[in-house]
Amino acid sequence: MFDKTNKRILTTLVAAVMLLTAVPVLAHKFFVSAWVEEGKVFIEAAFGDGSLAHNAEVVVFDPEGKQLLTTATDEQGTCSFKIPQRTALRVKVKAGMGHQDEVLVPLDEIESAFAGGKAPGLETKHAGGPGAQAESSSSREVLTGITAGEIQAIVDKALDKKLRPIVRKLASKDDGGPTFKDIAGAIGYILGLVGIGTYFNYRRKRA
Amino acid sequence: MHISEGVLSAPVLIAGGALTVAGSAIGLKKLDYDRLAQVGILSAAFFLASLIHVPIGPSSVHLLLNGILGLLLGWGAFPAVLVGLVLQAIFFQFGGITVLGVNTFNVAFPAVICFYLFRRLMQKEMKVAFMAAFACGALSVLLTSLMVAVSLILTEESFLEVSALVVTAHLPVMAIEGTITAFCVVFLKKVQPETISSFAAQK
Repeated sequence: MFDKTNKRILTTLVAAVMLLTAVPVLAHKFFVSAWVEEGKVFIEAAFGDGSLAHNAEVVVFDPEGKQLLTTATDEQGTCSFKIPQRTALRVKVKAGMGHQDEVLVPLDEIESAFAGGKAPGLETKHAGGPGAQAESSSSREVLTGITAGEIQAIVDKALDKKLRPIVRKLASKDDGGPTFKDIAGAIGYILGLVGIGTYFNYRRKRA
Repeated sequence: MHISEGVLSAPVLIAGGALTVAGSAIGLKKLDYDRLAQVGILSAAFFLASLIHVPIGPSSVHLLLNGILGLLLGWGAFPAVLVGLVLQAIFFQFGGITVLGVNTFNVAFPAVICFYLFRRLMQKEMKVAFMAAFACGALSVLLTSLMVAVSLILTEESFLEVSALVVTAHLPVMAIEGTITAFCVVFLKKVQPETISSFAAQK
């Protein structure tokens, strides 16, 4: 009789551990970072232990999930491609054997890349048109030679460049290997489970 | 051997989960509860083995130890692997909770297969047992790699390509684990022969 209870308890324990830990867990120790620079999207893929994911398949989707293009990372675990369209982009990197990660390149980052390049060209066209008077406020900005949007883009770019090593360092620290505390804690859990099981086993035997 | 979250499709996840639940139920039923400490120790060994990376070969792989787990625990390998993988998912973010079923099955099922294939040979003289244990350690890793390739079949296009990649990545692991398993068995046969005989008698 106790034998059955014992098993039931163990099963419940295993189930309880599973339920208690049913919190969203991040993907494998494999992460991808993406940034936009000069009309191109740059991707860098690395494993948690610092090794780079070279020759990994890179697939780019639009927000609706339509596949736009595929490419692959080089020996340095990086790759770049021209922005295929002005929407947010989802970049999925598959490093094989079930390792994959996905990053979203948001719309405003894509837009900022266009703001630096194409937008001024559009503006001059408008200024030459018949509605030039109505755009007096924007033409004043053009007169100063630089628009607010351009300043924004330049600052963003400079910040991106300066911050990238720091972001990368943070990411690698975040995803670094397990600490001694993790290992000791997990072994403690196993010993605890064994202890609980043994306790019920002896109780059953004594009964 | 940890497939990430979001890689596998729902049918594979559900099938893996169901098989793992069934395997763990059988394992808990067959378990000799007087030997619970041994299960715990092997579970802890499995848990730690994943931290030992083997930097040889095309990809970063780690030890599995499922051969020795199967040999000593039989169906008990299921709960031992499940506990180890749950803890790895929580503490190290290896794999993940939704893929737990598939990952457990991929590791524990080859362990059980190897248990049935090799348990009788463990009773034989030292040389035979040594060779058999080596084959057991290597075969369990090979089977696990093949099962990973099968799990990925629905998401990655070509089965042959994927399985070739996974298997070649695990060739060094197979050699290492074969050696570890062989020496473990020889050691146990010398020092504690009852460990092997009693478990081999398990139905």
